[in-house]
Amino acid sequence: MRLMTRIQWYIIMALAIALAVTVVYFRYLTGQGGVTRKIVDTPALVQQIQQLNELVTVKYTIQKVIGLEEEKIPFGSEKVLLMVQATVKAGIDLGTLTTQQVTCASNSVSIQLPSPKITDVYVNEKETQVWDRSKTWWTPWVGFNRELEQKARVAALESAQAAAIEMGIISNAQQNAQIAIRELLRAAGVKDVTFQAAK
Amino acid sequence: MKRGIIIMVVTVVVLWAGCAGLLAWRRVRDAAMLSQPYAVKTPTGTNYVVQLRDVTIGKLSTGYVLLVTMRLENPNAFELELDRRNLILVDQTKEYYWPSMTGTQTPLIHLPPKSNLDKELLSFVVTDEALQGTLALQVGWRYMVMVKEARPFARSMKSGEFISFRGRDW
Repeated sequence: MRLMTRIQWYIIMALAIALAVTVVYFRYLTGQGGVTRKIVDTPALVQQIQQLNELVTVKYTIQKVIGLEEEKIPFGSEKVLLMVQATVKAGIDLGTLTTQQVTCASNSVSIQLPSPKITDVYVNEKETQVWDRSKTWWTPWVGFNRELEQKARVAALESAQAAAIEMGIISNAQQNAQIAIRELLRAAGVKDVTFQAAK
Repeated sequence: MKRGIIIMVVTVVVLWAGCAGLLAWRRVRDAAMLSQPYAVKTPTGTNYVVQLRDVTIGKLSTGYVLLVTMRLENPNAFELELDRRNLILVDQTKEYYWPSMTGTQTPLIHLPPKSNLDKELLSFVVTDEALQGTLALQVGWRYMVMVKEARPFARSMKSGEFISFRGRDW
């Protein structure tokens, strides 16, 4: 009788320890918190990432003072001084992401993102104004060129784009894309997300 | 005495006018050479006409930007699509520069049948070294148009300053 009680006690203890080990394993070592593990499917994952397309855009607003001088033929010149505010947008076209660029392991995903690029550059008309416009005084026969202001705007766009690139808009776009994708995949249950440089 | 002064003044005026006239003639000739139309024939048989209008050089904090304004004409009875990436800039060291393809500068330039684009723009971001010699624009298969002569660009410019030229001598 005493022996039976002792054996029962050992069995109960063994079951309790096994249960505790199982709980500890699933709770802490797998990191799942008791949630059923999700199977990562590459085409579905690519589709989910592609849907982020609009989220990974970075927008910079840049103010520039542009002075454009046009040399006239045969003599003289005309100048325009423009205060321009331009918006530069950059992002990664996730629509071009293919299944070959996404590698899935058991609970980790490796993505080769397309290169970030400038997607749009435009002048904010309300914040843009002509400060000065002049021509050489000794060439009174030379008329003002109506297209000069337009050319100065184009020059301002190029200048703003170069400034944005110098300020790091491209790397910013890449970082934003990585953050957005990482958040999306973590919510989907993927623990490790790594990014590879575009080839 | 009085006659001598008159002769001297007239001589100076004539010399000045002569020099100005020569300079004007040279600049007009240079402008005419830049805006000379080029009929480009591609291996597939299509053709179009390219005519440079002016070249604008601008200083950026990191280098220079070059804006090439040109006129494109399609004399064919069918639509043409020119790939902007084929219109590349080449410097004297055979460094190649692709045009910018953002904003209004779409990768493909559409030329409807029997029509022309008066102000098509190409913009290139170039280094300081590119302006030390000749610059040429490839407007088609084996068609190179000189944009700048061999003389190094020596004009000092501030960041954000742009100058537009209607010739190659700059």
